[in-house]
Amino acid sequence: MLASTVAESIVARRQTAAKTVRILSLGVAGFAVLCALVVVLTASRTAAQGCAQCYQSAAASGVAGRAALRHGILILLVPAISLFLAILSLLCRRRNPARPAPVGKFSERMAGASSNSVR
Amino acid sequence: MSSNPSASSAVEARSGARPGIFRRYVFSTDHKIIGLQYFFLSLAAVTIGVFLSLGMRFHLVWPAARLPFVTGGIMTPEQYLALVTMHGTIMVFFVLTTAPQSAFGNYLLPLQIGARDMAFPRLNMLSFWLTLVAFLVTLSAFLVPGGAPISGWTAYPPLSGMGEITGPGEGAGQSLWIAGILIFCVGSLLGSINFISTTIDLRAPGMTLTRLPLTVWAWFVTAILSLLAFAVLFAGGILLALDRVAGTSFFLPAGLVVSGELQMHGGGSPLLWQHLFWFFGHPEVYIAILPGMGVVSHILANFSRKPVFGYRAMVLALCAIGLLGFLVWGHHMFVSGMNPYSSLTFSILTLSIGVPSAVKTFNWLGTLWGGKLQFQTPMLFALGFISFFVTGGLSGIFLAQPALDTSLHATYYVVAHFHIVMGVAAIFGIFAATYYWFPKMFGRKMNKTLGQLHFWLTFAGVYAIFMPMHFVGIAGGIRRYADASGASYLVSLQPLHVFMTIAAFITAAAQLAFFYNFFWSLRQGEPASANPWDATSLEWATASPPPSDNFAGQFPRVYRAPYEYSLPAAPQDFFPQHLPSEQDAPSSKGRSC
Repeated sequence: MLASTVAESIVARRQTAAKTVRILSLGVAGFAVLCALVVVLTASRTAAQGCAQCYQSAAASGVAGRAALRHGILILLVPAISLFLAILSLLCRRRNPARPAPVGKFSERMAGASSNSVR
Repeated sequence: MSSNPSASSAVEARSGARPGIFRRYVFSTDHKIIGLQYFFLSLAAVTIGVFLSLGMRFHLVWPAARLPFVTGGIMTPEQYLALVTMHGTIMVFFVLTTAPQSAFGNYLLPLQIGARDMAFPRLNMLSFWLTLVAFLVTLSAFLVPGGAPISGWTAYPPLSGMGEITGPGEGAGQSLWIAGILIFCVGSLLGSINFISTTIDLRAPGMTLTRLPLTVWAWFVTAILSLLAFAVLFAGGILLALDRVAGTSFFLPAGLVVSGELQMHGGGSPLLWQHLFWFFGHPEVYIAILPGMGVVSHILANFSRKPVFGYRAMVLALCAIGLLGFLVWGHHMFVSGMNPYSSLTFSILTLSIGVPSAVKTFNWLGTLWGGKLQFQTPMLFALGFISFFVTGGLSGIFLAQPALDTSLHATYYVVAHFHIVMGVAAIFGIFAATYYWFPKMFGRKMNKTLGQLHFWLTFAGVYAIFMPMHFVGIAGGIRRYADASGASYLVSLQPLHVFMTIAAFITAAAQLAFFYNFFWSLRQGEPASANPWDATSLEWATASPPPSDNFAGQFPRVYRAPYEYSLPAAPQDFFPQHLPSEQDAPSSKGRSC
C-alpha cells in the first residue's frame, strides 16, 4: 500500500516536472523567436556605421561587383562544408578498423627496432 | 615517398646500426621527436610573444620611457604597431596553432590510437621544418630596414598591399611576413593531411569511433579545420603578394592617394581580403581551442575518476563547433559595411555556436559532479580552462550582436574577449597537457608545489589583466592606440592601464616558475612509472617515455571505451582500454599490449 502510494507520488512529481520543462522550453523557444524577429527588423539600421573605404569601394564596384561579393560568401562556404562533411563521413565509413594486428615477422622486426628508445 | 619508415628501422635493426644523433633528434621521422620539436618551437615562440606584449603594455603606461631594445630609445607609434602585429602573429600561428595540435597531437595521436607512427612520417618531418623556416622568416622582419610590419596580424589591405609608401615596415618587413605565413600554411596543410589519414587508417583493432579518446576527436576535427582554412589563407596570401610585387589589384581599390600621390592600382576590393582572411581567421579560433577542449575532457575524467559525462554529445558538440566555425566568419566584419542581411545571418549563426559550447560546458560540469576529485596540477589547469572558456564565451555573446559590436569593435573589450577565450583558455589547455603528459614524454614528473604556485599566480594574474580591460573597452578605450594622452576621456582610464600592466608583469614573472619546473624536472624530477595517473587510454599502456615503435613490438587491441573509471565490478577504479575482461579475451582476437 505504502509502496504504491510512493510510486504514485513519484509518477505525479515526474509528470509535474515534465510539464514544467515543456513550459520552460516553450518560453525559451518563444524568447528566441522574439529575439530573432527584433534582430531581423533592425538589421538594416545597424549597417549605418562602418569602414567608409570598404563601403565606398564595394558600392563603387557596381551591381555585378556587389553581387560577386555576395556570391563569394557561398563560394567560400559550400566547398568547405561539403569537404568537412565528406571527411567526417569517410571516418564513419571506416568506423571499425579492419586492419588485423600485425604479428609474426613484422613484430620480430619491430622488436629489434624497439631497442632504439627515444629517451 | 614511402609512407613506412619502419622499413629503415628494420634495416637498422638487422644491421645493428643505430641512427646518428642528427637522424634521431634533428631530422627524425619519429612522431614523438617531431612532437617535441614542435613543443620546443612553440616554447621559444611564446617567450618572444610574451616579451613583445610586455613591451606594448610598458609603452601604454610609460610612453616616454626609454627602452634598451628600441631603435632611438623611445618607442614610436609605428614601432608599437609593429609589436602589435608580431605579437599577434607569433602567438596565433606559432603558439596557439603549433602547440596544442602539432606538438601534443603529433606526440600523442599515434600512441592513443595504437599506431606505430603517423601515416606519412617524412611528410611530418617536412611539416615541422617548414614551420620552423616560417618562424625564422617571420621573425627576420624585425631585422630588415623599416622593421616589422604595422598592419596587424590581419594584414588588412590597402595598408599591407601597397609597399613601403604606406609606412615603415610595409616594405621588406611586410613581404617577409607574407612569405612566412605562406610557408606556415604549406606546413599546416601537410600536417593536416597526416592527422586525418592517421586517424582514419591507422587505428588499432577494436578502436572504433566510440572508443576514441576525446583528444583524438578534437585533433581530428581540428585537422579538418586546418586543411580547409589554411588553404584559403594560402590563396589569399598569394593574391596579396601579387598585389605587392606584380602590380595586380585584387585587394586595392581605385583612387587611392597615399602621401599625396595617386596610386595606379584600381578595381580591387579590401572587403575581398577580409572575407578570405576571416574565412581562415575564425576557424583558426577553433584550431586553437578545440584541442584544449579534448585535453580538458580527457584530464577531467582522469582526475574525477569518472567516465566523461555524455561522451557522444561531446563528440557531436566538437563536430558541430567545427562545422559552425566555417559559417560565422562575417561577425569579424560587422563594421565593414557589408550587406546588413549578411550581418544578420552571421549574427544568428554565431549565437548558435553557444549551443554546442554550452553542451560541452555542462558535460564538463556533469563529469565533475559526484567525482572523486584529485586536484593535481593538470586538473587545476583544466578547471582554469573551463573558467576562462565560460568567461570569454559570455563576453562573446554581446559581440555577436551587430548593433553592440558596432560600438565595441575597435575597443579593448574585443581585446579582452579574444585574449581570454582564445589565448588564455587555449594556453591553459597547453599547460594542462604539459603537466599531464610530461611523465609520458620525459619519464619524470614535474614538481607539484611549483606547478600549483604557477597555476594560482597565472590564474589570478590573467583575470587581473583582462577583467579591467573589459571595462576600459566599455568606457571607450580604443585598441591599437600607442598613446592615449591625446584624448581626455582616455586619460581617465590610465590608472586601469597601470594596474593591468603591473598584473601583466607579475603574470609573466610567474611563468618563470613553469620554466624552472620544466627544465629542472627534465633532469631532477621524480621518476614516473608507465601509468602514473592511473589512466585508461593507450598511451599509458607503454613505457615512459615510449620506445621508438611505441609499443615495443607488440600491438595493442582495444576492448573498451576510453574513460572507464570507477566501474563497480572492476578490481581497481580504472579499466585500461587495452586490457581484456574475462568474457572478451579469447586469444584468437589478437595480441594485447
